[in-house]
Amino acid sequence: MSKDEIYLRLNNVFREVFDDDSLTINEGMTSADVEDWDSLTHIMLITAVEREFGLRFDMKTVLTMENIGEMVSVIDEMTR
Amino acid sequence: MTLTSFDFFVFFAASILCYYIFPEKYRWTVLLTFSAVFFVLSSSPLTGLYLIGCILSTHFCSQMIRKQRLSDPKRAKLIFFFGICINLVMLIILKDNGFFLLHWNAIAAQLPLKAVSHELGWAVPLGISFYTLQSIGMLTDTYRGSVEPEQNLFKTALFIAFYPQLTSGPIARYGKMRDSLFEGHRFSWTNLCHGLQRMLWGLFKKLVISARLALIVDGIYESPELYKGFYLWIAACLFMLQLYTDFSGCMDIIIGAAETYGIHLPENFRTPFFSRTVQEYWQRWHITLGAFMRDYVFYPILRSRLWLKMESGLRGKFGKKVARQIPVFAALLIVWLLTGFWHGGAYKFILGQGLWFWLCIVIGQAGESTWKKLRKIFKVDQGSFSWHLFQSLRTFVLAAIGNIFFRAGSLKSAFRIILSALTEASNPWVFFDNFYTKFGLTEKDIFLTVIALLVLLLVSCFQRSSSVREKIDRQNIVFRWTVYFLLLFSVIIFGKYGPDYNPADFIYRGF
Repeated sequence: MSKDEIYLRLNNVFREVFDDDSLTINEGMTSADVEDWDSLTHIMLITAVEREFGLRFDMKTVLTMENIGEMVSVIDEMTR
Repeated sequence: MTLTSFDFFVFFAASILCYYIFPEKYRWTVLLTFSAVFFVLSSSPLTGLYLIGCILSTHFCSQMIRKQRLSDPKRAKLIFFFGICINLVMLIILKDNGFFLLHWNAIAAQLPLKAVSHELGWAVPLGISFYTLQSIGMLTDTYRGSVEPEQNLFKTALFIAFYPQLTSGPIARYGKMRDSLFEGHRFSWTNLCHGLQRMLWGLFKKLVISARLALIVDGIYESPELYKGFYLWIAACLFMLQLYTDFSGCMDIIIGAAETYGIHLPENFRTPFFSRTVQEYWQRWHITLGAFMRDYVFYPILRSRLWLKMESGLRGKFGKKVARQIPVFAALLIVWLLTGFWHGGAYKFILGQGLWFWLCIVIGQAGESTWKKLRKIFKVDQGSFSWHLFQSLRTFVLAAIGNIFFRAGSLKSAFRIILSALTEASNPWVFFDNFYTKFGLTEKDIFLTVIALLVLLLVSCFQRSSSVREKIDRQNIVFRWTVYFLLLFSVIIFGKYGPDYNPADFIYRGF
């Protein structure tokens, strides 16, 4: 799976979780850039991402991922 | 020995002197020694055995988890749960045995079982509610592989029992604290001054504001049946302010004291009364407790197999959105029940500091599409000051209702107070009839409290954008020292030290 494909699928997950079809993610995006991205929606997002890609992040990763770019890198590494 | 007593300041001054006299490499041992002395001077020394038990179990379980984590994960998991259990069992038995015995006796009365005395009556170790959570955090981070456990038992002891934070938190994380705590910091005039300024600010909040508000709050809550309507709303709102100035004042003293050594503890408050939702309130109030519950309870529950199965099962019946929300609300319920129970083993805490806030958050989240429609119908400008003000006041009132349970003598009393506040009329001139005089306050006290609260509001407004201390630092010397002396003399002259003064009365010290 290429990184572009990961971004595309991740973007759809974000749009669904935040209920915003205009949302477009980018590498440097963090929770500060998305309205309603708080600790509640963060964990909903994580479980949605895990379901989409068939993965399971460990707790250390869940708590320390800082931006979308990092999330994409982790997904890329885990899906190879 | 309490944080506002003269003894404490002598103790603290001695610790600073010893800390900076000792060679840098061994300065942490000074902190450990003073922490041990603080514990002995502040509580029953025998209860130190429980603290030592906590330190030993946390340290040795962490070592064993580290060794077994990769080679034998099942064994590591067993040791991890064993370590958690030891700490939790100590906390529950020592602090909340009355709650369980009450229920046991109620069951025993219906069945041929032997009832036991209502409470064990054992002395509760100082700070057990806080250091237990810190130990659990350390064990969990070790198990997750987030940190390498501390090899030195005495350093583990210092992390768990560091005296400024022992009594009331903040609940720190080992991974973030260790370098700061164990590194021998060079003397820094900035750290010393900033630390002392922060402590002074904490004393101002506690002794000038909180102590005065307490007189009215205590007076009404001692006999709530004598009051109705507005009086009870006043008591509820004043208790919010009292609790905030007391607890955050305590945090200022603790964080300031640590800062003088060059150690930076996590913040526990971030202008909570500016919060626009109850969820945001709990991200700004007792921040470290909320973060603990989020990282060590909420997230692990949500990611458990049972919860993932729940979500999968609900998807087919209710769709993706509801299937995501229901497990979250169920996990939140557990978190809030535990939060309430942590505050006290009594239903008034479970309801007022737990269920009530859960309900507020769930109604806010579950009804979001409805609230959105209503805002559209009423053409609410969400960026306007008036809307933000409404949201902050609404959040304040909701939190005040929850804290009625915290302050009331019992669950029954809390319900009675809320019912009376909502349904019974009272003297509408209560703000003008000098009612406060019956609680031992004068007109000067009220004037002083109002001015102090306005100062607090002003500082809070500045804090939203940057550090107030750094802002003051940038001013000229006359202005700076005027501010410092005004604050110092406010505490000395206007601090409530009268015959009713009890330095032990930090509300959260009881935990």
